[in-house]
Amino acid sequence: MTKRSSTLLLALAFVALAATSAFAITGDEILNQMEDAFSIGGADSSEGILLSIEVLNQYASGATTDYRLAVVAQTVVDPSRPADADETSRALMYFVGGDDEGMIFLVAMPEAAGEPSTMWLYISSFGLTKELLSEEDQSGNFAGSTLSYSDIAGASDMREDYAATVLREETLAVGSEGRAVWVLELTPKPGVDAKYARMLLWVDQAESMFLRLEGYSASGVLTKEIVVASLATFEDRRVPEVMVGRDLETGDVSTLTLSGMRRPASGLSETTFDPANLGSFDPAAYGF
Amino acid sequence: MTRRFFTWIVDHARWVVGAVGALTLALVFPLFSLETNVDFATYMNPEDPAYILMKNAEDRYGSQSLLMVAVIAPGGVFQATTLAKIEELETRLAAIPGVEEIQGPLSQDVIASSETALDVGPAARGGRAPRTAEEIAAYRGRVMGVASMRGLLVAEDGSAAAILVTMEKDASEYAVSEAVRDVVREVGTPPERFSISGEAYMMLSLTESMQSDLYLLIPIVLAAMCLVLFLSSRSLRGIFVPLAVVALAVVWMFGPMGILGIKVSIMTFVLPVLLLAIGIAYGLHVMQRYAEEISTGKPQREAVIDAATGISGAVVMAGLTTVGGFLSLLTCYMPLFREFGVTAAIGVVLALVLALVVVPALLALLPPPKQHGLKERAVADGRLARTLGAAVRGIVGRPRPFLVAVLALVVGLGVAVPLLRTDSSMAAFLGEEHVAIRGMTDFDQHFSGGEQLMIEIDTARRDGLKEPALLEEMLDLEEYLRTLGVRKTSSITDLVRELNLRFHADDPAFYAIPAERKQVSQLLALFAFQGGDFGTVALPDFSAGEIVGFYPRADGATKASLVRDIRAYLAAHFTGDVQAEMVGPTQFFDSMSRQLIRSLISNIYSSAIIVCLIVAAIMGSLVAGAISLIPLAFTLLVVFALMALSGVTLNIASATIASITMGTGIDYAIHFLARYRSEMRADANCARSAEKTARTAGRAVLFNAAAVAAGFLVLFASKFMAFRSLGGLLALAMMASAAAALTIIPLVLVMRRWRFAEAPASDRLRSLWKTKAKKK
Repeated sequence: MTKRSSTLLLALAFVALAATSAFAITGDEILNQMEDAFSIGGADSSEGILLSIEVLNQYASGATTDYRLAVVAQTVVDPSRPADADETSRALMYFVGGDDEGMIFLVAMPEAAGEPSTMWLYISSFGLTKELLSEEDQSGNFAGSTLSYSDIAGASDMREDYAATVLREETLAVGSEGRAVWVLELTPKPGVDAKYARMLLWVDQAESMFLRLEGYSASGVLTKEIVVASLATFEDRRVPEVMVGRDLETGDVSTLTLSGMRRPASGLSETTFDPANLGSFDPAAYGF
Repeated sequence: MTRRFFTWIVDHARWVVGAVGALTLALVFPLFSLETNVDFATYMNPEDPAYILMKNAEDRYGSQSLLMVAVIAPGGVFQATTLAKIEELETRLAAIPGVEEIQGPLSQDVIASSETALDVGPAARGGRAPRTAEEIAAYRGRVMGVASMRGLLVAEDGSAAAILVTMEKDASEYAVSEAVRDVVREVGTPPERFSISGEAYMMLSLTESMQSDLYLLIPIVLAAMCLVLFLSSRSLRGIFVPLAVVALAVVWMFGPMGILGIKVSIMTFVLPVLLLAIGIAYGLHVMQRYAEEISTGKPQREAVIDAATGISGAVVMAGLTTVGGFLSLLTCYMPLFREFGVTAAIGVVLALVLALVVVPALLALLPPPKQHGLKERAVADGRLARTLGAAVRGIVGRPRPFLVAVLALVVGLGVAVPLLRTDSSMAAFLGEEHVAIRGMTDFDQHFSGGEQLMIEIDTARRDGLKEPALLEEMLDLEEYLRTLGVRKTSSITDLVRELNLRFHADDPAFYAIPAERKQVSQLLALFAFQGGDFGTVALPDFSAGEIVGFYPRADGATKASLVRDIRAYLAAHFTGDVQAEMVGPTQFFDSMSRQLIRSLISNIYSSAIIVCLIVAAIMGSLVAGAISLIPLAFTLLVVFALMALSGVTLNIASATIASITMGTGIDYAIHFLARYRSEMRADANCARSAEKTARTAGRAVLFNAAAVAAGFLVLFASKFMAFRSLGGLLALAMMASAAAALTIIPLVLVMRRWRFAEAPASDRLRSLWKTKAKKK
């Protein structure tokens, strides 16, 4: 999993579409379901999704930063490929407001194993588009936040690095509602240099998404906490609305807020996701 | 009262020895829990502006404590075998618990570019060492093409590579440093040479040097004191009893520190050696007096009581002046010296009390000694005594030439003193050959330098650092720093220019600050969204950031000049809303150097006043107090002038020299004055009294000074250059103050008839007390 594919997952993490039936299940199976929940399948996702994301970073030093992103995401099947071929998910993130107005990240992530993801960057102040090639892992933080790409990407990384066991089932309060969750304990697989020595994960049974994450150091100290603070409804599904990440070592806090999730009025065209057209992208045309 | 006290001690000798032994045993165990504090930052006054600036910067930008590992390869680092070792080092160092991240020549992220793409990734593909000649050539081209890596992670000439280790915020610097050293030792096989540097490693190195110093110095000083005691007493008890007393004092001093969690500093750790050298005299005096008493045929009990009662006053006086000298350090600006002064004073008091309690008790329990006492008359007629007497006779007989010679010497030495330089750096303390300093030297020779300076640019508003005009001003400042000898700078300007260059397909014309703020902002947003960490170059909101400059090691004067020039530049060029200030270690150590001078000067005055007042109280005369200071002032003049002429700098250790010299060296003046007054009572002739004093007390003064100097000379075996210098200087000071007491004081005494010399102090004090009582 690369950083650029994780960036797409950030946009899509809020729109988990798969449901899970509650029956006796193992921790690893739950992680599998979580990853499946990120996959956008069916006619709904091919229509595309529009949403806004706000990132507010509050640092222990008192400094704050914020970013506003207008996101256009879609999952498509390449018409040049066989009908049963894997899909490609893609997302365009447009920076709204301030000095960064007009910057665009464009990500395309094929579902097929081994297919490389691609990421493009358009810098409006120069009017230049560049493809971003990267060997980066996911240890870096997203947008200067306390949330790393792997924190946001969630299950796929967890499934690769950790073994999960179900500790218990319980009801977790999210905002004003109680959600039935599995509480998983994740420990690194042998030989894996995992980010946390131990993780606790509260996974929503209905939506297969995590609602709370606690990361512990080798000495047993809680170092990271990510909490879904509120949920919204999108097409009869409950999806995260506000996600708060706390780095308990530095005292920094980041809040990701999702708003305005909707379907585009008309189908998204191929040109929207063409890197050559990033310079002419008009957010107003998408209702942003 | 005094006699009653010693009678009680002697009559309860077993109980006294038992109680002291039990208490000592209880205090031995806390010794093993003693911890050290070698963080120089904590030695500074926490209210000092330089300290506050540095701490504020650490709070804002995080710990800037780096561990640096240098790999120096004879044929250059771009060889498969060397690169393989670097890869192993990078992998293993990154896996050490407590290591947050490493920057190495293989794993450091670099940005490569083409017309259509930006490629962000490790300098070596996958962070793996290239194997083939082609791969190595390509890697070399990639690395040497990145300005930010050259001179920092790879030497400009390719002769060396460096790995920078950043520790987690709450990680144990000691444990991480130890683990890093273990890895380097295992991987670091020839032909390459490996060295470690950095503040954390310095602390590990300091702590270990302190421990090995104690293991080495204490036995040596014990051996030296045994020799001195043997020469003085020629008996086992004469060696054992005074040594036991000082050893007990050391345990009693450090035991409670272990219980109370008071850490041993870079100064207090040397106290056992100093205490052994200084405190041995107290027990020795009691022993010698006892030998005199028992030689008269008195019963043992009476001899012990008479000896203790008779000598206690002199011993307390000698101890009081030493305590006064150490306590004068309380006037120092730096807490390090205040703590050292109090701890040393407590140690001396303990040595004093134990000498007056334990020695009489032990003497009462031990069988009476054989007679070894030397007759005073024989002593006074010895060759040394005759020489001293002749010298003083010559001085008092023709005082004018000697006075002129002394004054000429004073003027000559006085001219040299202003040349004395201060240096509070680690190098000045540890010495060039210390392993930690050798590591810094490697960074001086192969990289941009082992010293760092930091300048904070604070706009006090969000995104203020994105203004192109300000970035250009920062570039000008960095250019100015290079004219001052700063070899490399690192700041947000490097990042912005590098991103601009790469975004424009490596067109050199774009290695510049973009013209528009929006362009700067978007380049930085690109970096941030890629998970880039700005480290110290900018706060997350871009309101402020640091310029870090690297330069080779420099002495205190060079640093002072650097700080002065930079501050002048900042004051002239950064006005209005933008604040620019030096915040890092360079300004801190410069301030520490200035505080050393301030502490030294205040200490000279305070120790002089305290010692003068104590002598005045003892002798019953302020004039006597003032006269007793003359040899000490001369001694300090000699010491500082020699330091200046020989290039020995004033550092953290040598800044204590005034208090130790005053507190210890004063004994020789007191000894001489007391004996002179005694002689004057018998023979009211100044010249004859001075000569006789030199013949009798002179020998004792010289032996006493030689014994203490021998103790101080033990510090020559220290791993710390500062203590080696201190040992030599203190030994010189002891001999100089003894010589001055035996020559300058007679000169002053015969210049006129001093009233204090005509009457015993006890009489004068008694009459003073009676007068006060009548007034009431």
